[in-house]
Amino acid sequence: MDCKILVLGAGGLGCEILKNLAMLSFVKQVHIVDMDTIELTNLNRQFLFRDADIDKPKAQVAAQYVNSRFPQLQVVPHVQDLTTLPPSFYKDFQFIISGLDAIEPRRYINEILVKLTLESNYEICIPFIDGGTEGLKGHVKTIIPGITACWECSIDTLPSQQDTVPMCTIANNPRCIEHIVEYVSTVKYPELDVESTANVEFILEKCYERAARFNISTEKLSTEFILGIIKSIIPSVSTTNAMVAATCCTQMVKIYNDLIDLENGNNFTLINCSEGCFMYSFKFERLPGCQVCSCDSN
Amino acid sequence: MERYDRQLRLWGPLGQDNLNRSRVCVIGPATPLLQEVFKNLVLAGVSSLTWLKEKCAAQSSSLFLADFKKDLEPMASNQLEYEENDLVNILQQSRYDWTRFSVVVLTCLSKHSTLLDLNEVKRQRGANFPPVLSAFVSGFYGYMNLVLSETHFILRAHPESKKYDLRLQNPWPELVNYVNTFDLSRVDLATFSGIPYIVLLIKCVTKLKKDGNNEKITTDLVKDALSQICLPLGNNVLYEPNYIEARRYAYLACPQNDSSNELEDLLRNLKISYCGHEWFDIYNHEILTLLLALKSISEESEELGFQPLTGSLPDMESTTENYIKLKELYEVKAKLDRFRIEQSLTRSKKKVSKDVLGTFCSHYGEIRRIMPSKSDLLGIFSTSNTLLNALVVVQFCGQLTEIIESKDEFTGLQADGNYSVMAFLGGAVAQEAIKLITHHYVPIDNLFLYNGVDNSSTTYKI
Repeated sequence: MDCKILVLGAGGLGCEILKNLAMLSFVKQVHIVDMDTIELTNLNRQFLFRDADIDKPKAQVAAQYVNSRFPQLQVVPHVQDLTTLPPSFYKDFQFIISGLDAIEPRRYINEILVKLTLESNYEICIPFIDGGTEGLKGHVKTIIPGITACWECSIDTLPSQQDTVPMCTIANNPRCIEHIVEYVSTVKYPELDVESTANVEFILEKCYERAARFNISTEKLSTEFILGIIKSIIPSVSTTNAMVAATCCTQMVKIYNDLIDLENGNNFTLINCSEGCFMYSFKFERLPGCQVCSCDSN
Repeated sequence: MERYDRQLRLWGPLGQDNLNRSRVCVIGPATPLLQEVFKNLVLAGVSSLTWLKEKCAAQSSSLFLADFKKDLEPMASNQLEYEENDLVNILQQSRYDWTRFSVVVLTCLSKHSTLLDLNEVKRQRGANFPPVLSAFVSGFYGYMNLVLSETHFILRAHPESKKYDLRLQNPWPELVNYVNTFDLSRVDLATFSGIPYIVLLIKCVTKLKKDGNNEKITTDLVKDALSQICLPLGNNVLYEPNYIEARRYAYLACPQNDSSNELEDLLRNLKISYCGHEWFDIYNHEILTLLLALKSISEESEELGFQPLTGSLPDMESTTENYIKLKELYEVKAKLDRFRIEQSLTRSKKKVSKDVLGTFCSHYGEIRRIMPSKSDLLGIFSTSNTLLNALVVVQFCGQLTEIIESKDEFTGLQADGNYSVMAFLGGAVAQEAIKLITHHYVPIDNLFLYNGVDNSSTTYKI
């Protein structure tokens, strides 16, 4: 059976996943979806892109790279928001592997796949393998729609928003430079687009002014620091991306070759390399009454 | 540096600078593992790579990068220094300079004799040899072994939960004075709510000591003391956020079993003789010098276990004014502690770079170390682990023996289509190399076994 695979996201994980798939002889066609364009800060890990590719669409450049070197594989790029693709688009794939950086698109695709399975009475059942990273940590979830825990079943395991600082502290009682940045960027100038360097410089200047008024140290203050807070930037490095993407692809290879017990095997894997190197898998049970995959929820 | 923004958030500009200046030597035949290690290192910023090729009789697997040099160059921010050499030639050069490498990586070596030769080269140079990472992949399995020649010190371990050094149990005089400026019997609730919990907890500890409490201070005792000292404020105090924080963090006022004890042990057992020999890695040498300085300060001042205050303070409920005053006290004390270390270094005519000293002091609790093991590159042969044994047999005998074939547990030991397993180990090996180069995060100690069928790993020491 020749294999047709959908890759969601052409970022750090997406580039790695695409490369790994290109090295598998049974994979004949890969579709890759990503609406983003390439930025300089991507280049420390998204190795299918070059400096000259900055501002070009990720999916397109990634597809070109692989198509030009591996003629046996056809890569089809989709430069668009995956939620704008019709549900019928998804049903032609044998596997869906995602390396997305947001929660909502994952929930969207999960719901579509579970629906496809339940509505077709299990005639269509597309394994959905989801990878994610943060710094030196990562996870891989293997979802067999309608059989194992779906993405929604484990949604409560996501870390809750960090202890949010009350608005009165930020407005009247700021204690640290983070509070200053929070106030300037979200209360004072929420309309400013931080993609513009001039705007970030402006916010930086306002932060200095406000910090001086409250006598708060500006030692840490810089444009990178401000962007880290406003965009809640997640640290990312080639090595962790490689390990998580590889784990996603190994899962796919094992399912393809019927090497694992889909129903009872471990479906969640955690990776943490900050102290030694650690990989652990366990079985995450389906959530009774899950809004998406439980039959009695309707 | 903008290119590296996403990883600078992991190891900072200093760690990145070390990476950019480092040279890595990779030894082995052309395999996906070798290529993946190269790719990950160049992306992370390593700008000098040397490939010592091992000629391999086995059929080579297909690779993603067609031309290493040409394909790796665009991934580097600066000029990539790239060199290829025949390993056999290099092994014949008795004066080959191995010390220019920060790390040596062995990927999928196939000849037993090569490993023996390398081990001999390493043995002859004693401690003056870079850390060696040796890795192999077969089917869905793989191993990675770290062989150190000298103790590796970690400047910042980045523990999962950040621990602040607050000195609640033994506040220094200036802090005590500040705490005493608050008289809880004379404040109203509004003023009380602006007092940081640190002040409240120090008051609790002082009270417990004054009351002649000889028992070990426990969370319950601290909480009792807290309700007593806040008694004049009435019941409404229970709902004040700073009071709630003080209860939540009461454990910080109790003696703790944590890394600071580990560090005390480390200091106690530190041998001065360490300083005698030449250190291969300048960071290891500098961190050791700093630890020895702490030891000598403790001995001179008879101050048990002198440790520099980091000076960082978590955010907490407080008025801006109180918080900034408190922060200033911590920062001033941290500066003084750092100055004491600098003076001690000057007295003993030792030098440490400003950057290392700075990080050492401001993140003191994160220092860790890994000692070299007694086993060398050949340690992988003398283990009782069945998976490691099976892997070593495949690696150096080239085929599965009957013994392994009968083991069901190793299904897929020679499976095809394992590029992604190579990619996994390539990520893991590069990650360990980066940890060794940056001295950030704790490397493996010292054998990592990967099981790609179960998606699990084990680490143990050989």
